[in-house]
Amino acid sequence: MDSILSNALMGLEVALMPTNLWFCFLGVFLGTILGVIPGIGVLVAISLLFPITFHIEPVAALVMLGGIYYGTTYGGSTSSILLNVPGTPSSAVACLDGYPMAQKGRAGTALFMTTVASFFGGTVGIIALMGFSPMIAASALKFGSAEYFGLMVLGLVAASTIASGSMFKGIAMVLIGILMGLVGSDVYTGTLRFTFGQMALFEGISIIALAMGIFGVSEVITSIRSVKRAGNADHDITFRAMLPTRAEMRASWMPMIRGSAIGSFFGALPGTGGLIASYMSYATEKRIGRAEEFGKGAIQGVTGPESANNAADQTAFIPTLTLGIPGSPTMAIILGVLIIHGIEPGPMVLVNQPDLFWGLVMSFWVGNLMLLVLNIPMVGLWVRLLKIPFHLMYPAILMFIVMGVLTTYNNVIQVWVLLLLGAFGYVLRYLGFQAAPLILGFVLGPMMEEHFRRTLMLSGGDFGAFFDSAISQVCLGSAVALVLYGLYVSFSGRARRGKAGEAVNEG
Amino acid sequence: MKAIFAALAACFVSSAALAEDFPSRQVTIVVPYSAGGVTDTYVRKLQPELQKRWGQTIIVENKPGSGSLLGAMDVASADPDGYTILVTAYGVISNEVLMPEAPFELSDLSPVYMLGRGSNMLIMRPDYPMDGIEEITAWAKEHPGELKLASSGVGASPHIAAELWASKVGVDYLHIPYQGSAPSRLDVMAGRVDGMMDGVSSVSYVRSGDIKAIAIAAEERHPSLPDVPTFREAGIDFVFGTIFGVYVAKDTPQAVQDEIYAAFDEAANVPEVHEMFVTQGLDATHRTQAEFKEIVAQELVQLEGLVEEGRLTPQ
Repeated sequence: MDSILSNALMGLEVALMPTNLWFCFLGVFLGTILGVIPGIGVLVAISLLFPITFHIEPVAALVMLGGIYYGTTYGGSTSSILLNVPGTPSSAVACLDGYPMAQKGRAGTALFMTTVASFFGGTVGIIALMGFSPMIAASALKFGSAEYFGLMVLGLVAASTIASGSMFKGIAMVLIGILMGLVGSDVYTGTLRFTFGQMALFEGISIIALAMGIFGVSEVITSIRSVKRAGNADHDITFRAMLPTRAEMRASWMPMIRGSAIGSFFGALPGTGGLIASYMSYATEKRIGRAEEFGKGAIQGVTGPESANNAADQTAFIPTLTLGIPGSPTMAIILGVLIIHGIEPGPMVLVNQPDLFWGLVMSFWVGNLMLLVLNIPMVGLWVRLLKIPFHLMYPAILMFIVMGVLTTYNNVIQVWVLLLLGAFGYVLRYLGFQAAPLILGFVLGPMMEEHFRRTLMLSGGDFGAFFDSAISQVCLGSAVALVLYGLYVSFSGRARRGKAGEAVNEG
Repeated sequence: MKAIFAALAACFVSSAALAEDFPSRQVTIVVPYSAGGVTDTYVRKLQPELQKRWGQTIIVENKPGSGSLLGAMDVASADPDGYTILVTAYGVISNEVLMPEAPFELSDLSPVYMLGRGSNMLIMRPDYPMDGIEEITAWAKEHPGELKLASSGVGASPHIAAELWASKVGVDYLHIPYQGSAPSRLDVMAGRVDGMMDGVSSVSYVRSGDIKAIAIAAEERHPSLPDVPTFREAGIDFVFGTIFGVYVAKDTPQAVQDEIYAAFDEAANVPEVHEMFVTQGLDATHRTQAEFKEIVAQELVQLEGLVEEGRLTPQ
């Protein structure tokens, strides 16, 4: 305990150095601006900004990247709440209840509580990062292919059952996502699948093009069809309007605590992260609370996932820094920056460069504090940013999206892939399909296949290997339970929905 | 039509003159991997030194995709004037054999300078019952298909290294590919697979006792691991590692290629850079361009041998 405290103090000293403080601020500020702009997510923000970090020293560079990272996540929630447009895939959950709150005139409260929940979740995540780093690093060894497979099945089942609307549509999207994820060369044999001889598809559909296309481009197309929505950002937000009522405060505590725990756990597991964590938290709150309130502006649906999201953003650094395994595409970029600066991530970082590790960890906390301080007076500014007429903003967004894809791949074909996926995303939206389960299926599908096949290779074809450990038993068992529960809800729900409809009519 | 011929003729005449003042403008170095990879790190170390010598801006362009094919194709199809340079690892060579259908031939490039050669070493899980390479080889011979060796991917150097070793000693093992070396190394540590032909970069895990190093596929023992024998010491003639090299389009004038060779040679021998190569376990022996070309050719013969034996399957 003593060592953690002294390490934290040493880290704080590093984090509070004026240069690091400045780069932390710069990262948080730029990240929030980019995050607020619909369609610009963490990946685009980081890929646009990370070349800047080549010119500054490693600690400052990482501090700034960290700032961009959670600044963008936070900014993403802002546009989710005000416009129903997730700035980032992981803040898509904030749309579900944040936007209805805004429609009810509680936008200020939703934004404020988002900030508070983010800070809370971030703090819990950081404490977890400090305390559990060595422990979680050790338990990561317990996760083999069978365990990963079980966990991913659970994640996907959870994602499809919590998609608002039909569970079957959710499952359909997950499956389409998995199919899209299989494009490219097979890990085990190198055989090319579904590439139609196109070089651009050899490495698979790119996650950036997919996320930008389905969330960003399709958003721009939708906005052309519904220009009247521009008025929606017209919230007048004063500090008074931001304060939650006592009931809202009370309703938020437990979701925040649960969300932080869920987020800390999923963030630390490679391959999962903020997206899964926030969906898991949402699902948990929906199960615990009164399900019918969700999707109509329940504050628990905002604070729970938001703290989960931010806690996961912090703990995602655990596998990246301690084992050198990036848990997400974003972490992969951060890992790359580490290597550029001559740091080989792995167990040795903690031993050889404690100032880097602890400085970074404490700067996360300073950055989260900055977000809190920065955003309460600046919410008004973000709102004003969203008041820029859409006919000016959207062409600019489209430009940024294309630029993001171009700077990442240096390849014009990827721009066509992006536009094609944008059109596809619009069709999905038109038909009422949720895009988030698709993205999750896309990311997890290939990993699931990899782990599924590896489990069988290692066990010599024995399917029993999937149920060998307690971790996989719990995961697969929960997945089955979720499906059964989903089926139960969708069949018994049909009857109930009829009654609920009558009740609304009577009211 | 006449104009084109005239322009072509002018090109030939001026190519000699061009070579003398190469480079007279910005030079682009294409790295076919993402920023932050090993190759990229090396290039970014070399960049300021090259810039000093040439007095021109040097842009490092990361062009990942299709296991280094995309970037290599770009350089192969660029104007053969030396202003577009490829720096890449082993993929450009193994892809030639593994992906014969890809719209790219290694012969479209001219190998110019070899930065160095890594060496793979056999690492085993910490609780593996055997320590000697002879013992392990003997066991693997008696139990065909039972020794589980991981790799960072099909066609990547740990995979090729394992196949070469298996071919040399005549054993069959079970290949378990991963995506990247970090997850495969983790499963070695966790004991889910028996071992892997890892790069020397895993040396810190050997020191911490998370994995055991059995033997190294180098000519000599590695300075950071003086206790680890080479395969040759055990009577197995097996030396292998990824090759980091500099390539240009094949029709680049020889005078320009010579200048590029000289510039990279100078940059790579700056003490600080050289030291980094050595600590990364790179054999950065000085080699001429002809020697580099010869090494690439030998490598192709070796890979084709593996294909003939049925150990590698081209796509």
